[in-house]
Amino acid sequence: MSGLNPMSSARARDLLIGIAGGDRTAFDIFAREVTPFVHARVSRIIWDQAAAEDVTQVVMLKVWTGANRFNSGRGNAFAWLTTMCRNTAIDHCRVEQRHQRISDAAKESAEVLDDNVLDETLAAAERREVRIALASLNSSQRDAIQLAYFEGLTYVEVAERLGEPEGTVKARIRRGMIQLSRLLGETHVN
Amino acid sequence: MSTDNYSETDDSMHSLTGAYMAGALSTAQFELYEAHLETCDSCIAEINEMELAAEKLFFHHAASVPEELMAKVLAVPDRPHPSSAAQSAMVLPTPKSMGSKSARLRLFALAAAFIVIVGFGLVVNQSRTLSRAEQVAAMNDAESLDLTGEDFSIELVISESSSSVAFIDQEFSALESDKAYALWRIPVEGVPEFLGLIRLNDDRKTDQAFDASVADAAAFAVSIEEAEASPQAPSDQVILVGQLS
Repeated sequence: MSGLNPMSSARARDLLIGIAGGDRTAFDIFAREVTPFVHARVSRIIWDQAAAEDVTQVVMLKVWTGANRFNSGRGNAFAWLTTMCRNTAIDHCRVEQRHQRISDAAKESAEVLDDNVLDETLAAAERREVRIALASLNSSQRDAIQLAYFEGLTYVEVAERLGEPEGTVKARIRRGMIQLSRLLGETHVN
Repeated sequence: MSTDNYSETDDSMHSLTGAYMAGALSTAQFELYEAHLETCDSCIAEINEMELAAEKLFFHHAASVPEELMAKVLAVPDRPHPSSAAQSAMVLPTPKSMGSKSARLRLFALAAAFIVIVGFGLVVNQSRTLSRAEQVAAMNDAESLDLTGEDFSIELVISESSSSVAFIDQEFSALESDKAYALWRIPVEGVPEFLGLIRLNDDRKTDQAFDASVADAAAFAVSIEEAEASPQAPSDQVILVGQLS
């Protein structure tokens, strides 16, 4: 555990390696920590709560049965998990024809981070820290990251939504994520 | 719009690092990018630069998890791990009526049977988690029908007892953006029946079920139609056909 974070990337990677080997204890630890966040991500895309719960279960089942597909040597555990949440939820929507994704999300700003469906299990200070860091990005970077991360859009879909070239959006997300890490790192140190 | 430019050059792969860390890649893009990581130390370095942002963003929002849901999640390891599942599957009976048409369908039915046997139903509660297409494929009378054409072939799962047909993880050829594939039932007598447009994901694959009377069908066919259309009759671009014996 790394200070403010419930689980670091390194810790998540170690647990996924254990899960890939069939370690039930590793899964138990991992599931207790990440399930509320997996459920939050899925619920961002699927508004039907019962369906969102089902998809959350499917994602966690994929963690158990598919952890061996995570590139534990080179990949990032949260990138893997976030992508799995998104793509599983989207697949569900496509199959069920219940594509209830947020339609007009970019109403960006920090407002998009508010969601009365969600519990705040992190300290308010931590949430504020992320908000402040996001607010410190330039608006084009912030919009791209928020659409990608909080709405579950691919960068291609973000480009379509914003009417920008894909390359431009990729670059904005890349620069924004680097800048965000730096800002959060400075906050953490301070 | 291009969804395939990520496979062009190393430069384009490098540029995906941010989207990778933000979870903004399709499944295919994600797998290609992770393969790229095997040989790219500069991307690894950049990922490490973004690690803190990925962690903080992931843990930014939590949804309250009902006790029942958490109990089901924590019971997931009651299902055998893939290594043991593979061994167990070897001794499970195959569903009847599968014939020899499709190894993939047999594998799916086997997996579905296995899931039921080991108690997946306890986790997913009712049938919502298995998609409708998967449910069709898991029917005891499910059979595979090859729809073949000049450019490619796909499998259609048909189940007479459920009056349904379905595609399971079938990949179609690329199509112009204003066009769509449509599925038709060709009855023994009468005119073709439009079953619906086929929805493809970014990888041009689909898992989709359709209501269809199988008993009096002579064939199923796929045509190319205008996107969003509800055609009364197939266009002259019928590209795949599978006849029932």
